[in-house]
Amino acid sequence: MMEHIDPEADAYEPGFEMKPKATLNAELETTGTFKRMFYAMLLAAFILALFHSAALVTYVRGLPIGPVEDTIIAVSEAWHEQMQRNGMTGLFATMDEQMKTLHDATWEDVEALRSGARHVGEPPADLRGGVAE
Amino acid sequence: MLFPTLDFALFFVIVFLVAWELRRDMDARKLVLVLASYFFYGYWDMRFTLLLAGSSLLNYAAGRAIGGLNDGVTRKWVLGVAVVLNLGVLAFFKYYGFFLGSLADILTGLGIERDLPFLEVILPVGISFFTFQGISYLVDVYRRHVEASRSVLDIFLYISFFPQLVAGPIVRAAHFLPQLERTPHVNRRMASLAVVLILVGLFKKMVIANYLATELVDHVFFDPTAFGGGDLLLGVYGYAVQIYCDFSAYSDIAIGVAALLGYRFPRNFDHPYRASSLQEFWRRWHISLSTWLRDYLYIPLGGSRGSTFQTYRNLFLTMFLGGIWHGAAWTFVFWGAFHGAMLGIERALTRRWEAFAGNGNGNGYGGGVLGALMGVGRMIQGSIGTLLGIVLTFHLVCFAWIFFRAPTFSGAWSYLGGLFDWSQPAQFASPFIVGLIGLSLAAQFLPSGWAIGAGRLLRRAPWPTWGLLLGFGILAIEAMAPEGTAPFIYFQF
Repeated sequence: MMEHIDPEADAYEPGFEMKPKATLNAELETTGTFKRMFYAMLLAAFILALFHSAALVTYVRGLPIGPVEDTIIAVSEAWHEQMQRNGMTGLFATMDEQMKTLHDATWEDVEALRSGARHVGEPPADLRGGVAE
Repeated sequence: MLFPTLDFALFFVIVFLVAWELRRDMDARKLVLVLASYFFYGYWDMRFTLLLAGSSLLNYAAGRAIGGLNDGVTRKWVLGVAVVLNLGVLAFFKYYGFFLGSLADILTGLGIERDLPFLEVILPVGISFFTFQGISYLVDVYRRHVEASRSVLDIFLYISFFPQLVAGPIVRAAHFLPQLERTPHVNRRMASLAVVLILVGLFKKMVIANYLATELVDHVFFDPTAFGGGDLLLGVYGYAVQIYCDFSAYSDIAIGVAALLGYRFPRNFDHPYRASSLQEFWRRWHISLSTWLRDYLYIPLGGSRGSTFQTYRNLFLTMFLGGIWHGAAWTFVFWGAFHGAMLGIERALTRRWEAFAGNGNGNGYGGGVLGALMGVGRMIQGSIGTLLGIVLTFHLVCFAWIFFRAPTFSGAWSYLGGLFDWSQPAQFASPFIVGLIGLSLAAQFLPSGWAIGAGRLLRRAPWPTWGLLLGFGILAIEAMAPEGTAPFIYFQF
């Protein structure tokens, strides 16, 4: 335990050196995990602000009317427009579009996909065992 | 405040930061968590926080009284009065209108006209959950499983802790209070599992449950007479998946959020639709309520220690009361009674089958080829039996879900009648809806500890990986989910 403690350095609050090693490790682990999680949350928030800025605008438009709120709304809208110009919102739009296609698929589409898969499984005759001209 | 909203995300980030900053001052941390929980609860209606505080004070005082007494009879009396007060509050808010309405119907049936004191009673969100937690604390103190808490803050936090306040899991005092006495601790294992559970919970609620509710279940249960048997059958399967995804999502997120604050909650669901018997289903579905009912109702009633009749009676009463706990309606009464009756029948049949199989085994098939063949035969028979059991149990549960979901008793019968009319084509059976139901049911057969396994994979990853997973995970869920956020089904209980 003592290898972590340097009483001469006066770096620890009084009584800290009396804690068992397991407690010290748990505190270090807690601090480390808290920091990791907090940074991860910040990164996640940044990703969402970049790629899904429309949700930010929708949210701030629901805020009550006031000078501070108006500023927040103006800043959010400006941010969203900038993200649109930079093409950042395209990823969300693409995923949304893919989901709509999946959602609206009919049994005929499923059948076509299945027959397409069967067709792909069998290469054209002119490519079998030779070089296509 | 709903979990899958930006309001909750902002609220949680602030609570997370403040709570961990105060980790060396336990009382201040608890106070912050209590205030945050009351803010969370007051978001629905500020008046309800008074009820929550009243319930907490009642249980704190009763707990101190029970803990300080040595005379068995007096302790029992204090416990009885406190439990009756708890249940009285629950009964007033939840069953007042139901009892008065039923009484009015009976009186009208008898030709008696009376002006009954009907009141517009608003049901406070999550009242059944925090009432059961309060009772759990008192009984645990009475049984000396936990010591009566001297800290009013601990009891306030135990009753109101926001992750589980409105829809469980129902956390036991013996499980939670000792955690409040230790220095809070979070490690990579807990945090990585929390990330997995929160993402899975958001997906189950926002994508699966919301799509099934808005595009299938709400329509077919609103007017079952307008649809054919195919749609109604799909509708009940859809509801089975919807209620599982909705409720287990809340539990997943609650467990994840509590873990990020350094607290451990028990598991509430374990792939319930792969149960091969109703008894097993109740070991996998809403585990915190099932075990609560077992420990605080079934066992005090005598459990299976008395005569055969008493055992069946206790089983039936427990499930019957479990049904009423869900809500004040005849549909819930039937739902609970049906499960109670079917559990009794299943128990009786299992006993007979075991006696029969036991006699069969006594024929003395020894080792050798014949024995091996018999072993293989029994294994195949066992596998087929399990498969049949899963299918049968699932359909019994689905049958009961019709009563659970239908707005009225007559609506449930009308739904059941419609299941036999196959003259209309199934208009809701799109590949998307069928695929959603099929894949969700198939996911019931994933290994029990898959979330823990996924958390283990994430444990060693650097924080940017966690951030990318959270960010793009939520982005994908948002893109996949339908518009709007519906409240969780179990908020109404």
